Amino acid sequence: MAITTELDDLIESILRMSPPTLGGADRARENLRAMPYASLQDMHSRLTAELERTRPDAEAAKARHELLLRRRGPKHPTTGVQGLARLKAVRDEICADRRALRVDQVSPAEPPQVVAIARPAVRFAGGGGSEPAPQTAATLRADPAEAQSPGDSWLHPLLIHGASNVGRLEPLQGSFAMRMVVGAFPHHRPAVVSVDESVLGVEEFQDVISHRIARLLEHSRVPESSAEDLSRSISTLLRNPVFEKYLQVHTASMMRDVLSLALTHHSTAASSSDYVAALMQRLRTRLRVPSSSTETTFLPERPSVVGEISAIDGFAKMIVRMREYAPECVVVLKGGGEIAGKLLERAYGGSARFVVHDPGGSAEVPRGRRSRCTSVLVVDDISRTGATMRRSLDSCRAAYGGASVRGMALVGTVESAEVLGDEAFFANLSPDVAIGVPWNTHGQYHATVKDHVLGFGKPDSLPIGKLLLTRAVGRLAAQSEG
Amino acid sequence: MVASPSLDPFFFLRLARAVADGRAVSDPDRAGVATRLTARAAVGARRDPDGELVADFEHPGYLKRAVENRTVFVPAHLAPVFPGMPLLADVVRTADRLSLNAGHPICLSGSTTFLGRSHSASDLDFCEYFLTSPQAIPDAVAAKAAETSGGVLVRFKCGGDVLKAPWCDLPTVAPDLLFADDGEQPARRFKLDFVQRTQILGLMPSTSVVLPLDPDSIEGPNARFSFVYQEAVITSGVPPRSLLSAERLAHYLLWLRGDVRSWLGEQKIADVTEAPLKALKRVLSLLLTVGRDDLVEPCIEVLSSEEIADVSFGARIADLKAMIADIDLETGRPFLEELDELISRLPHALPTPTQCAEALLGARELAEELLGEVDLMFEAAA
Repeated sequence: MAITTELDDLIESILRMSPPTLGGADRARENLRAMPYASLQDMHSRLTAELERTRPDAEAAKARHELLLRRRGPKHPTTGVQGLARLKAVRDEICADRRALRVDQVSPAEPPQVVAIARPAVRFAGGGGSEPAPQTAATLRADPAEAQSPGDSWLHPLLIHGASNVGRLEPLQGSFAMRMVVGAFPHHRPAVVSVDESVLGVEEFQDVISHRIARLLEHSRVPESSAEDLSRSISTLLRNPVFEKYLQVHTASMMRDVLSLALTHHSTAASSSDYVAALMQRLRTRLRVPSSSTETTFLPERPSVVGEISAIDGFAKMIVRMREYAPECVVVLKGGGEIAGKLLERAYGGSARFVVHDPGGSAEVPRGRRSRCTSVLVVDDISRTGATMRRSLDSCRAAYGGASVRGMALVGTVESAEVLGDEAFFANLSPDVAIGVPWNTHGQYHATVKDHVLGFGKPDSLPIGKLLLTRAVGRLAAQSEG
Repeated sequence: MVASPSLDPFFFLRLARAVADGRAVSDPDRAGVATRLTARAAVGARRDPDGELVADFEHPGYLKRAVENRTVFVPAHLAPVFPGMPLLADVVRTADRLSLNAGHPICLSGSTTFLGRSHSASDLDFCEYFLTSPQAIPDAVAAKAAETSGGVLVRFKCGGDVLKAPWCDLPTVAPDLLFADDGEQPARRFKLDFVQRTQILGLMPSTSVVLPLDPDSIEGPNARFSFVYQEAVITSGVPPRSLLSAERLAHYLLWLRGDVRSWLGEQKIADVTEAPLKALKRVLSLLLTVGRDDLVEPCIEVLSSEEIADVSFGARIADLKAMIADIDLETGRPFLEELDELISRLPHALPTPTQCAEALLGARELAEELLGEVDLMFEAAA
């Protein structure tokens, strides 16, 4: 017993002098207990001697440290308390978001499950139709007969991306367009990709823009006192995800326009050759993509309500894009989506069947009278997290097996755009998940002779002149076709 | 506050200050280093997830365990954060694939040694001690470049030069990069960047720094580019370098402190998205080495959470994309598909850009606060 007590004392003394790293005292005791007693005694005596030897320096250092801490004051903590608090807050927020997403995505009839996010982007692939048929990796492996459908992704323009899979781009292989792109970007392999994947190309443009802005500042005689602030603001902007998205879309549009011009020029110059003319015509057909005039508009962070002009312009873009897609069935999401859907139904002019679906309910997507529907469009007013749109797209794919299914909303957030990739088109993109629309979302759509009216009564309503909207649609359609 | 009557955490910093000021380290201080590291290993054994790491008193300061027919030697202060099986075996197999010579010791380095407490890693870092003739390096790298099964070599970096696939120029260019004209200097160190398939972590950017070293004089000029205190050595023999050098320990602490400052500098913060996290890792390594666990533990608790670990997932993906872009098309295609698979298999949405930015701001604040404490300790240790 006496020996045991002596051993325990020895172990505790060693642990006081040399405590285990990051806790684990019990395991440390076991480790020491397993050592030969003589080794323990030797270790103890060495540690004791070392403690005694360094005690004066240690005490002096400790006193100085305390003094320095007092001088520094509580406003400048050194324990990491502020940074830790911020990190914990972010951790808790992400955790809460994930819990909410799981709850949101599990329908009452189904058992809870972990929901995978959508693939952030989808590549184009050369299809057999009159335009490149965008397909998901899943549909690439699907029955070739099904590959004739318009696909589940909205068309985006061309951009260069070094990591893309050129093997999926057979229609453009060896073409003039491809050679031109290779010549312009010798260090990257070119490919036709969706904007979300075009990071490398965008980075190059971003570098050029940053450089140009820096040059501009240099020549603008900005006072030294403001130069740093201004530089920081611009640097922050260049790293802003909304700005990045803006740059992606607009540089993509620019590339598309350059290619189109080049093809037109070549087509004219080579008109004497039937072969080249036919080839250029085919390329032109394959390169038919939406005009930059119907691209997403990027909203500033404030105000938190979509402006009326952006709303009207957005509806016009939605109508033009609907006409390009020509859906056979439009699934309007219950709530805010109904108000937007009704306007689209009145202004669309196509022959689509419009049905209303409650994404929060347990009912299946109504299929209307057309049981054989090959193209479906899901419409909502706002897509904040992308979860509702994701669930609805999946429900539609289940209900209309084999059909092409795409989504569309008047306004989406950067977050939802990341979740949905090219499966959904947003006429407006906002960085603010609390973004609102300029009418009462609990109201309804009604019409007068002159106006489409969204929302009940005044002031929470938005009248959109029918003539104004028709003109806007006509203008965008003309630009798109041009 | 620093607890008493423990051995004081200012001791190592006093050594660092002495070395920084050009003062010689006294013999009692050298003995003090040995006493402290030996005791640290004795109490720190079996703290890994498997409880397999045991003190190696023949190589003071190290703990060791057997993995895949080799021995892994781990500096004792890393034991509580060091990974266990099966992750460790996966990492060791990855090290084998990166190694230019199976007989060379290769080390897990940097944040790879923290994988026991970290939910994920943005990359895997290794350091190979090239102990055979440096003349064999070009052929060894060429042979590695021809392998594509478990991973693929993407870049060869030496000095300021970067070579990429196709590797046809490698046999002629590499010797010029590796060896000085006069032939007197030892071969230069170089870095190999790989994309590697790992069983548990998935597709990973992996880097191996290769140090040509003379086995008869292992602490030669190239040895200064690696720090044994942040390396777990995988070897069939014994650890090639000792932990007991007071000077090397001092240099390591000084390098960590300088590197934290560098990552927190305006230029790095502006240029490198992950700069705050890198600064934070360095300052935590410093505090862990000197024994300020009281500051390290709460940080590891937050940083090891899945939510915060996912903040660097985007960097890993971007890194992989950039690396795959440098591989020839045919070889890169399966890796690109695996990358898609890696992204699509995520069981949850990644943090939003705003949340990432906020987390990076938190990491920066935390690193700055802890650097403040390190600075105070350095000053107090005078």
